[in-house]
Amino acid sequence: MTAQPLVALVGNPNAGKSALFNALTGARQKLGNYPGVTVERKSGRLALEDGRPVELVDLPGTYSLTPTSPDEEVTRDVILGKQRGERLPDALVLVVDASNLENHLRFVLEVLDLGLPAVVALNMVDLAARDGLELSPEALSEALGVPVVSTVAVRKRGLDHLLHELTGLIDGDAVPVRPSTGDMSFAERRAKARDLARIAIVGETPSRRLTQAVDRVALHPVLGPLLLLGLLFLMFQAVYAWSEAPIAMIEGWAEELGDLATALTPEGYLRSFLVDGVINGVGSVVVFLPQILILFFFILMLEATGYMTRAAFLMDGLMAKVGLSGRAFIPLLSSFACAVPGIMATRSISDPKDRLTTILIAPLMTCSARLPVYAVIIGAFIPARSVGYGVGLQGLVLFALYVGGIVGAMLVALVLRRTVAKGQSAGLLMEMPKYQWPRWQDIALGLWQRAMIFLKRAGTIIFVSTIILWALLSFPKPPAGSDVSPVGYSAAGRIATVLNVVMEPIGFNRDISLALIPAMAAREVAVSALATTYSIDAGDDEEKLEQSLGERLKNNWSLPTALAFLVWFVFAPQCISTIAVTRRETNGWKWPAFMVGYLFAIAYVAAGITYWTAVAAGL
Amino acid sequence: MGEAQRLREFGVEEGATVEVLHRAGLLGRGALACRIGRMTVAMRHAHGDAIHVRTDPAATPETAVASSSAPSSAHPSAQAITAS
Repeated sequence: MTAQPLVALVGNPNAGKSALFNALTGARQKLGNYPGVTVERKSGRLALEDGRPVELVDLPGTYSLTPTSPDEEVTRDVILGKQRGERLPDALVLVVDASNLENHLRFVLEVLDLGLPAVVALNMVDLAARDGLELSPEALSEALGVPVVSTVAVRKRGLDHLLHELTGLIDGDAVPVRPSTGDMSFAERRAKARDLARIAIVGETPSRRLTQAVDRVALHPVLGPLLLLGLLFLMFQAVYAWSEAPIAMIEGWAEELGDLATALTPEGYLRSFLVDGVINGVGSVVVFLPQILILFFFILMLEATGYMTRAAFLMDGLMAKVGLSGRAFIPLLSSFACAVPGIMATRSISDPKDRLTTILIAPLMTCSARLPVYAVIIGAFIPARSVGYGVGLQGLVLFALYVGGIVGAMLVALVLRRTVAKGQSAGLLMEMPKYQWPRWQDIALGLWQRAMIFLKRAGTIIFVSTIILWALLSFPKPPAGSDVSPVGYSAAGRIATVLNVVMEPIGFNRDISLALIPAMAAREVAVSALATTYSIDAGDDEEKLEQSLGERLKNNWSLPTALAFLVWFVFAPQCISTIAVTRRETNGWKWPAFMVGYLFAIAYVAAGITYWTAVAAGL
Repeated sequence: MGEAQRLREFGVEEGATVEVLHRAGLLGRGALACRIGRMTVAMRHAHGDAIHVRTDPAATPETAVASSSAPSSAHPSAQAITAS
């Protein structure tokens, strides 16, 4: 059996490579990893003109074949045929930004010298036209000696033509002789690229550039930061405001499912397992899917429109003050979704000390897994009233928790840069792409992938830990007539009683101590753990069974305890995946151990201070 | 080393036109956003200082005013002579 032909997408960052990849492969994508390195391999299936399947792989963006990061190394090694776990591509699609030919063609020349069959995709020609550039792909094709196709990936334009050229390349017909630039220096190749750009650009009319007009506001010293703050604030308000209806819907389904299970199963362990364990436990986490998707929607939009690098630019001054690069802003902002991709995104930071500091503070960015915890506690204890100007108190508290994490992260970075990660900051050096309206399908695909990851977690980690917890909570049963509650008598209750000796001073009760253990698997499990605990505790008490988790919490916790619990979750390292990815990215146990230690210490002290202050204030 | 290479990849070379478009930061010296050829590149002052520039005599009065109010070695609209 012969393997399918392999086609690789190669190009500078911001050439629109990923959009082209999405447009060509649709939802038929496979995410994996290259063996031995922590670089993501993104591949998909593509049908040629005659229907023959080929594998398309999206290589990490790079500016040249002289790599400065592990990602760029993979790109070089794949097209040299040296990458472990990857065959030499049969053809390359060289993606270039049509409005930045001078720069992108230099890299094209460098890659073409390797001699692989290639087609150039002159991408984003619509944006070039917007800037007043008139291009001739034919002239460029003649000068380069390879086919050149105009494409607009986000509008799916030029894809048929591209497939036509690819089919020709795969069949190996008509390989034209190309001028070699193999012995050229960097500067000579650049000069040649400039000549080629002059050939390709057949007309240039000065026009009002949209990107520059927007940047005059977005990068304004005063308006820029205000706009950024406004966007972030809108994002967190939206997480609450837009999610109400879909959450109510999911809750309704969970309730119906619970009723159905109650009706279909006999009284006993099976019913308790299904209703208290599975439906209550997993359901209480799945209910937060809408909020997580809203958060991801904003992050994906900020990335796809090109605003994210502007945010990094604006934040650089502040980041520099705590010894970080503005570049760290992007991994840190991703960490609001999840620290795992955030920590993986630190690979774009070339300075090792910069990178280590960013990894260590990434868990302090409030990830989406904490959202269920915050949401349920805020929903139960913070009144849903307006503080004026359409700003809700609940959203405000949520915003404050996020800010708390950020301020904590900045202080920690400041300390780390003066102690364990001492050294000069490498700074910021990055291209700012043109603004672009993203294709809705790309955003939808990104959201779909995130939703699947979340539901898979709910179906596996959360499901399993919920079941184990249910078992620990249900057995052994207290003897009839005992005045100890069922939970208090169970195995889990006894473990928690021991742990509670440590946690009691900061206002935590036994149920919280209990929830913290399974929450190490995934933070949101804390919610399902509490749901299961109170569900079992309710036993056959009709009145208690009618209560929602929020009402049950309200009856069992004081306000200072709830506040301390929230603050604990701002800091505590409650997730094994984060620890595992830190170990992988730092090559050892030293830094993850350090991270877990310092985070627990801060969480304990901060939660304690919150509790004592709240009690003293008479809350 | 790595950064000089990256600057060159961004098109900073002898004879290239560099224009400072934006300066970030209410507090102190924030990052610079420069136009190099057709690209907009964000950098810190350390990088800007490493680019030797000659002010373009044909620069418009507006940009000239901007340069005098915010002095920096990377003048708005200037020719890069060398990049270190």
